[in-house]
Amino acid sequence: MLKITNLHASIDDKEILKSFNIEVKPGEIHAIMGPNGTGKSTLANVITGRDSYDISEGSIIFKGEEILELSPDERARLGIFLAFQYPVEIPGVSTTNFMKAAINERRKHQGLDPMKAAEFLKLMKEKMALVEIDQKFMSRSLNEGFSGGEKKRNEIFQMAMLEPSLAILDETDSGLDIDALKIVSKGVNQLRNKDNAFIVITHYQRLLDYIVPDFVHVMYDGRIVKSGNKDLAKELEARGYDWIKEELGV
Amino acid sequence: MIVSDNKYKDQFTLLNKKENSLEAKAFARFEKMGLPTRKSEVYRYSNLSYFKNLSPSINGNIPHKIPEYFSHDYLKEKNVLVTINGIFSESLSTYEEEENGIYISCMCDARKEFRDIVESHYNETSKDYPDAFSEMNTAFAQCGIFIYAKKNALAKKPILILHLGYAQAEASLACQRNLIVLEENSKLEIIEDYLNLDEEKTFNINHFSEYFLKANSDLRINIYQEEENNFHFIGNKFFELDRDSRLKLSALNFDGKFVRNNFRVNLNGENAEATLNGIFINENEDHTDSRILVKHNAPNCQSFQTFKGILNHQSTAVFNGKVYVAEGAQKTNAYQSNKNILLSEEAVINTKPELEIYANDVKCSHGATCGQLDENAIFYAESRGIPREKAKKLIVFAFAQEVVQAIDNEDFKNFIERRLVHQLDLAEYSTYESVQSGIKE
Repeated sequence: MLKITNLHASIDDKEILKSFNIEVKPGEIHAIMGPNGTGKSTLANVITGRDSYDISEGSIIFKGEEILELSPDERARLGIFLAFQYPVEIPGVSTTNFMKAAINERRKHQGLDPMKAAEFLKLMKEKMALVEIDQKFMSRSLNEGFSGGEKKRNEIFQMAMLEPSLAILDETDSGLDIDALKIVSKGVNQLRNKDNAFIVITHYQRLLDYIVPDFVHVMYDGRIVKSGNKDLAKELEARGYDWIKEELGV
Repeated sequence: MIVSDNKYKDQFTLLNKKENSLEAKAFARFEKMGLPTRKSEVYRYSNLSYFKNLSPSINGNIPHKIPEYFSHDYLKEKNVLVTINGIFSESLSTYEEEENGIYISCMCDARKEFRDIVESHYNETSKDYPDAFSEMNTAFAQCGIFIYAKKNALAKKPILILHLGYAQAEASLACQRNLIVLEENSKLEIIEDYLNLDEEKTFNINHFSEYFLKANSDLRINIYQEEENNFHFIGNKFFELDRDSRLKLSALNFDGKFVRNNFRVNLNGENAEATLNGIFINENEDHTDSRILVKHNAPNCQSFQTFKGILNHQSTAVFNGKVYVAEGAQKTNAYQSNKNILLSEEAVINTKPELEIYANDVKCSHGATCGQLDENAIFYAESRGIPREKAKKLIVFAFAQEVVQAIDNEDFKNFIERRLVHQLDLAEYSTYESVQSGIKE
């Protein structure tokens, strides 16, 4: 589904991703862990298409297509979704309107008519229940005045609405209490199927008790330096990252 | 600057006013002041050269026939007052509020029928801050609208004032003059809408309205100004608020070639409250100038100002909002905010929020911002599949919502929302209401 090869990305002439490689197949969950400042969020932004990065080398093939030249909205409509580390507040736009715009934009590109109001409403209610969001949030301004946990649940709600093929969760667990974490994880697990895939970026092994990954990668200095299964996350939890640096000889 | 051009003098002579009349005195003051130049602080960022070529109209040139116009049917219930080139047209107006204690007439009739009311209020607001355009207006005042709400009067329906421009004489300026008096406990709602019916001629107005809100009265005013390239407007609206009275004003400006709104509010009695909101959306070479002065002259009064600007292309705008708290006006609560979005490199906003405080126990806050659209918000929307241009428009739409949602006439609010959707070309996203109301069920 996703194949990133030899990707180099920099911002303000500072190289953040240095020959990054990964392959994600349908049905898989990949966890990416690593110390701060190793390029995890950059990776999420670059896959999603944020244009503040310079890509000097490499390729990102998604569903067989090179997507580096595509705009973020085109990538989104192909099925890429980013759950933001810091969801943006947009005063004046309700979550309902925002989702309606997103869904109908996608339908337009699929040659479909806008979704009927009743159908849209039903879908909203169904997905809200999934992440246990109160309906009153839907008519409130997007993320405005939401708590950290509410914002993250709103991200998973949006993911559920858009049903992406590839969802990247950028530290969705950071700042979540255990109850919210369980709700978010439940949402992800219910959406998981053999045709979609997840990249879960996290600092904490705790999340991976609830969203069980097929692969765990350690990212350091802009690339993956070690990969394993879920046990690697446990080992990182127990031993920290220093032993990996030692293995790398840095 | 002394008015060197004799055209004003010649015009004024034709009016045959008595030497000691209010008009003659105003004209003398106007002559002395002259049209403001950019050296004048209050007109510093507005180029008035266009107005220098205009002469005040002196003969009520109401055309005999006006073209049929798209009637503004966004209000389900309304009284309609029509002015043409600044002059009240009784025959085109339809209203029925007399039984509710609201009297409406042209100013000329009011001078006879409501002589005491007119004499004790007319031109009383313009004393402490001399302004060339309001003096010019007083000197050349045309027969505008008089509205008088008796004690305890409640208007059943909003009063829609349609200001129409049609076949205005070349290079002339209509000095429209209105007087609105609300007695104790009365309540009025006014919507003012400007429309130029003439495709060829410009519509130039020097508008001056005076409003008196007696104890515990309530006035709502919504002003809608939209004209592509042929609307030049200088407006002075001066308000005097007695104790416990409430004023709520919203000014919505779309695409005015030159629009200056000067709102001055005197809070003269305790617990009076004024809310002034506005949006200006400028494109191409539009220019809007919003000048607000709220004077807290008595304790325990509140005032709120929220103005938002959206500027594209080479358009320009000025915002100057001032809150003045007089000595002794303790427990004043004043808020003022002007936020602007610049959508192009060339657009310019000059914003200057001011506070002048002579009391020591007050709560005043003010602020102004101007910036581009938030790239984080744009990217957030893009990442959900919304194309960049649409995302920007959605955010601009959202930006305006604070002011739009504060409009308390539902019909008018919906109209402005639709207008905004149209302006931003967001029609395909605009079936929101049904969904939102559905969610609440």
